[in-house]
Amino acid sequence: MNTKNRYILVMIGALLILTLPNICAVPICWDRVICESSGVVSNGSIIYIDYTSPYLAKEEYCTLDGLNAEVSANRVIEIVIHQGQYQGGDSDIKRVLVDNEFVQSGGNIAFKLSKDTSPTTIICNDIFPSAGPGSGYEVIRSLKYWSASYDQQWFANSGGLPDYSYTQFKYALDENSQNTIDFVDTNISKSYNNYPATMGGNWLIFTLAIFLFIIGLLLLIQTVIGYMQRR
Amino acid sequence: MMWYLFLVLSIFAVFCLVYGRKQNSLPLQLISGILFIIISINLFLTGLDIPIGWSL
Repeated sequence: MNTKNRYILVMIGALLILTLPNICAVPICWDRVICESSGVVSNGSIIYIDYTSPYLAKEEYCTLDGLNAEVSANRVIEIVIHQGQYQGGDSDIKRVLVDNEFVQSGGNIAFKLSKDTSPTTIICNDIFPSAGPGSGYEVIRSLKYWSASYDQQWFANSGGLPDYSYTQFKYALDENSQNTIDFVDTNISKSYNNYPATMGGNWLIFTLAIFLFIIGLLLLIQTVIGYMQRR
Repeated sequence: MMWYLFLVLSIFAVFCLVYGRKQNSLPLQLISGILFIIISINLFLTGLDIPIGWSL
C-alpha cells in the first residue's frame, strides 16, 4: 500500500471513529418531528432530565412545542410513535390523536421517555392518512403527560421531578381522562405550511448553508469539466 | 449532534478538497463537493438544532 492510500484510509478511519459513537448515542428526545404533509415541524425540547442513574436509566421529559402550533392550526393531528425492537421484541407503533381543545387547555404535549424505550421515529400525520377514514381513534383531551414506556401504561411516577414540574405533571395526572370518539371523514388532502422551529432568526446559518451549497456545486462542475478535459 | 456532524464533515470535506487538489485527484474533489452539499442541506434542514433566539 502506498503512502497516498494509507493517508486516505487513516482519514476515513478517523472520520468513522469520530462519527460512529455519536450516531450510536441516540438522544432520547427526538431531534425533529416530521409531518407527512408539511415537512419538519419542530424540535423536541427537553424540559427535564432525570439523572438518578446517570447513563443507565436516564429519562427525559420532552415536549413538542412546535407541534402545539401545528395542532392549533390544523385542529387534529395524529402522532405516530415507532419504538423499535425493544428487548429483541417486535417494533411497537403507538398512535395518538391530539386535537385543538387539548392544546387550548394550556398544556404542552409532553412525553416521558427512557433510554430503553426511546422512540425510533415520531411522525405526525394529517388526520387519517394511515388508518383510513372512519377508524376509531383515542383522543387525548386533558392528558398533558404521556409515557412511551414499554408497557404503554399511563405513567404516574413523579419521583425526582423538580417542584414546578411535579406540580405541573401532578395536575395533569389528576385530571386524566380519555375520550374515544369516531371522526367523520375529513379532507385529508389539505395542505398547510409550517416552518422549522429553528429557522426563526438563524439567518447566519442559512447564509452559510447557501454558501456551502454553492461551493459544493462549483466543485462538482469543476470536477466534471476536469474529467472531460482529461478524456 | 448536528453541530458535531457539521464539524466532522466540514473537516473531512476540507481535507478531501485540499488533498485532492494537491494530488490532482478528481474523485477526492468530487467527494469534497458532495460533502459540501450534504453539509449545506444539513444546515438548511436542521439549523444545527439551535433554538429560536439563540445566535452563534
